Amino acid sequence: MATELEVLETIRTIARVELEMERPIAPEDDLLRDLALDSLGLTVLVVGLENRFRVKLSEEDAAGVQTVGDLARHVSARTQVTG
Amino acid sequence: MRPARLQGVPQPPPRHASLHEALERAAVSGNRGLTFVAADESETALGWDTIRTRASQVAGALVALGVRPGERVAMVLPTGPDFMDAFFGTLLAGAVPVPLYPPVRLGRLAEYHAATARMLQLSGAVALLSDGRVGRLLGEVVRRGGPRLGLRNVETLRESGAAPVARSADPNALALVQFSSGSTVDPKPVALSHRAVLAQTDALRALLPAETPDTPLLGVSWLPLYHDMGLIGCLLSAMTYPGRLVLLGPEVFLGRPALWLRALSRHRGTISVAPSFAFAICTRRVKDEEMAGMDLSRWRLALNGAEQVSVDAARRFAERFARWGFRPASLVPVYGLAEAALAVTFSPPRTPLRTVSVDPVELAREGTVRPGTRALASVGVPVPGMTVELRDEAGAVVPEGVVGRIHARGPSIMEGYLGQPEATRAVLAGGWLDTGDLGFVQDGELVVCGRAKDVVVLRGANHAPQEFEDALEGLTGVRAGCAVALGFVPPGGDGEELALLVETTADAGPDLVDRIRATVAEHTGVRPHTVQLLAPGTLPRTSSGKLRRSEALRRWTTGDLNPPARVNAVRILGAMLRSAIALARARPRAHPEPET
Repeated sequence: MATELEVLETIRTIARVELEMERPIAPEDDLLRDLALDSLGLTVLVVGLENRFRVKLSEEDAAGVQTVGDLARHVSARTQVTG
Repeated sequence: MRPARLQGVPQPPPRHASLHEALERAAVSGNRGLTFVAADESETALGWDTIRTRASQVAGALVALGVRPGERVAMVLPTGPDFMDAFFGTLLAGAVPVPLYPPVRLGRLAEYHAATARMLQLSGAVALLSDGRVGRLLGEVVRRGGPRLGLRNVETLRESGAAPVARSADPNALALVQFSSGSTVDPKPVALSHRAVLAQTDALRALLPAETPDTPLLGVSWLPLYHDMGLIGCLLSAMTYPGRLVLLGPEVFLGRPALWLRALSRHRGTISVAPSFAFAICTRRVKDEEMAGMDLSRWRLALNGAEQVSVDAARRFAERFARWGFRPASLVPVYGLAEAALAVTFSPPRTPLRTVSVDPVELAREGTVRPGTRALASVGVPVPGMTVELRDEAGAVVPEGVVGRIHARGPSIMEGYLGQPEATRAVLAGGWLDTGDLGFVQDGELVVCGRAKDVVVLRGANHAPQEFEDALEGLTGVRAGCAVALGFVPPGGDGEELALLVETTADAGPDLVDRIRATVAEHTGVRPHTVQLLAPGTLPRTSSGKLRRSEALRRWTTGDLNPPARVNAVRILGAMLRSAIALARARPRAHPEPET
């Protein structure tokens, strides 16, 4: 079980430590447009979240995930399901 | 000056007639095989005998479905046992495997669907194999790509209970198809025969250090299996050896790069290959505590290839990991391309990395090698059986020390692009492959210094420049059709990066560079390193108005990318005067001496 806020904090950590991004990250930021994450960055982010929260994000869900907030909500929901 | 021609030692005699024969032999080799490492470092081992048995079950199911010998079967699968079932199962069915790229996590699916459907069509695949997870995303691809036997779950095939099948193949038959680039714009299906693939793995084997009882050879790889380096360089090399190979998925590596180095230490790995950027990622992202107790001293061949080698990144890696026993002499730059099955040249292990320091401006402007500040890595000498020549625009072999187009000839060169005779003729003539890469020969070794073909290589993956240029379509402030995408290695950088040279219109606005970056990242999944805005008319074009990308890169490198002079009467008069003066000055030297 992880709250959206916890996931958001982890996204910020991954962005800072693994992706070396210096800009502040807000829930409304678009992953592609605002953070300009490339395929490598997206992979690092998703795999980092999967490893941290012990969930498996399916590629199918990509359609609904556009912003940092969407991603946090999604990962959080996943942790509720799998316990 | 000697002509720039390098010859590898003779090709060793073939060990196998086909990949089937190699798999049969591996299956009786004892306890050798593959080990898969998951993100939590748990491992699954699969011996070659098991791989062969499972493959024959899948082959039986494919034959029962109606897959005929020589037909192509595509697959989109992550690194794992399912991939092996699909790949070797297709081979044992007498069919031709076509491994394709999986979708990017959280990436936009529209582009992925379009690109994958196109690759299915180009390869003429009769079926697409996947697993339950990725398979859910492929319905759209199959609808568009239209393979006769549709989308099939490889696990279902394996467990179908069909009688096992192991068909053999002719050495000259098509063994596999690998795409040299995964974009929608211009994907090229590289067709390789059994003979070509095995010639490559035979040549690679001849380059490996000798195996002794206390230093058994063991490979570790996280490279994608839909790419020549992972598929032929690692998987099929291990299978034909036959040897042991530890595999991590690319995602496992990218999520936590230390897992690659930890696997090398844990398994006492002796060989591993990666593109330049991977070494840079490790230097930056691996933490000391992740390396506690690790030992990289058995890693004898750290091959560095698939993109231009960054000398700085390689050196930083060697310095950083020396503490854990990494030997700088293990770092071996290599050069190759999908069209040659994989490797063209290999540098002998030694200390230190051999580099040539050149003047980058002189190199771009005159094509000559003069001492300067830019360090380029030597990629060594041709692999066994391979010959390399550097040629000028007219096709003549250039002298050593002069830049030319790299041509390669040898038994592992592709048959051609599948079903694309025109594209094949453009690069293959008289057994010679025009690699489209630029290089020069210095002290008997090849140095790759640029590219004449329109390809951008990022993190080992090829992209057509149109992918990036098309993403700018309709963006306010960008002159329609007036942008070029180029690959370049920034000084001190980790590897090749994307640059966009963009002509602007009057309504460009101050945020144009940011908008270009965001748009390109959104549409292509690649973040441009540099966006250079230009005045209209600056980019060089052919007489028919087509953009000349390599010329644009050349001028950009030399600082000669200038907007056109505005044409008005005064300027024309000035230009006429200047040329008249120049002509008058030149007259006494009507036959100028060649400059020395």
